[in-house]
Amino acid sequence: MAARRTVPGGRALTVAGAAGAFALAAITGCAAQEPQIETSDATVRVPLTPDVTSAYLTIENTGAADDTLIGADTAAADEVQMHESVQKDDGTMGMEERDEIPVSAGETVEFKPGKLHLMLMDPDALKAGETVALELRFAKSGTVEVDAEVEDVMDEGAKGGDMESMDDMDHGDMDH
Amino acid sequence: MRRMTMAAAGAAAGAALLAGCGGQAATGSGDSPYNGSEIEGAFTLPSTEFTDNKGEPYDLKEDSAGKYTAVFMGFTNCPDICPTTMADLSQAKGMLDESTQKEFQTVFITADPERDDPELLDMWLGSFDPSFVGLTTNLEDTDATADELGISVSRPEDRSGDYQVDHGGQTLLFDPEGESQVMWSYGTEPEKVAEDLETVIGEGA
Repeated sequence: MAARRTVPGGRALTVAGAAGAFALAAITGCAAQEPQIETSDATVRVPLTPDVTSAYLTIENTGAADDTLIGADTAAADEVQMHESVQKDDGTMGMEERDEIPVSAGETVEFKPGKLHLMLMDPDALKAGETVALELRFAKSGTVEVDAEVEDVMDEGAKGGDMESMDDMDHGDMDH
Repeated sequence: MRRMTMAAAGAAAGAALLAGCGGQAATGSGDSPYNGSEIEGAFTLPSTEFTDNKGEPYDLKEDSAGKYTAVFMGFTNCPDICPTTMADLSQAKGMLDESTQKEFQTVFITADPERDDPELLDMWLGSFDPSFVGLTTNLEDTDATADELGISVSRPEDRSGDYQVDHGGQTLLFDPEGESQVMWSYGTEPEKVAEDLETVIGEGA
């Protein structure tokens, strides 16, 4: 999916400086096998309590080598953890902390509601429309900076739905 | 992203309207007449005494009587699942006819009563819909209620730091007599929830 190229406003396309250099290397014919990390759609939820909020984004590795997300940070919170919401067989929802998230060559990893998310501990009193600088730490690509837009939870629309069900909606097909 | 998302949501809502979002679309086919699971009479709201987000006593059965009540259990320190579910329920409510809206309420029962006091619940729920009711009580009654409603809840033994509570992701809809009707699993789109609400409340009217 090439959504990052069609995001309005051109705000979301972020290429790490280092990765940009790799892209240049690729153009000039250098055969270096390197990952190239691109991010898009980064948002932080307006904190609903002073204790915690979540952030979401899409990470794409357009390079030729695998990479791994090994952590995240921001000046807007005390700590950033990587979590995945998981549903157990009995329907119970829980969260599991992730230390490493692989982003293989050519793959896209989505942080979205009900799945992977960044958890911002003790966040600042962020308001909708503000921008938060997130720093993503990758094993090979190093630190990638991402500007995330602070968004009210009620403005997220149908983001929680997966693509399959969105397709259902598009066809007005409600049978289940 | 927001613009794209809102456009997608608008398109989805439009599609739902075109498909006859008045309760007809889902009838006559499949096992369940709903987008969610039919659980008619499987659970009954217990007569348990809670404190609501305004600090007033709230008997889950008595004070929910006369309305269709959606019940979800979660906790305010939950950054992902709980806000998403509450936002979805608020959006679903907004899609209902005005008369249907008046017959419907949402109740959030905290699975983490040691941290979630009425004040915190009130602040948290205000982000979604000021009409949402938040309930808290002691641990024992919380767990007994979860049991009655078939919602699993588990807390870590050590609850000193930034702990998380595992909890069922489902939302249950009860009729005005406190009998369960429909269950939505986590992630059910607001459009589908709204469609079910129109069906159930339309039938009951």
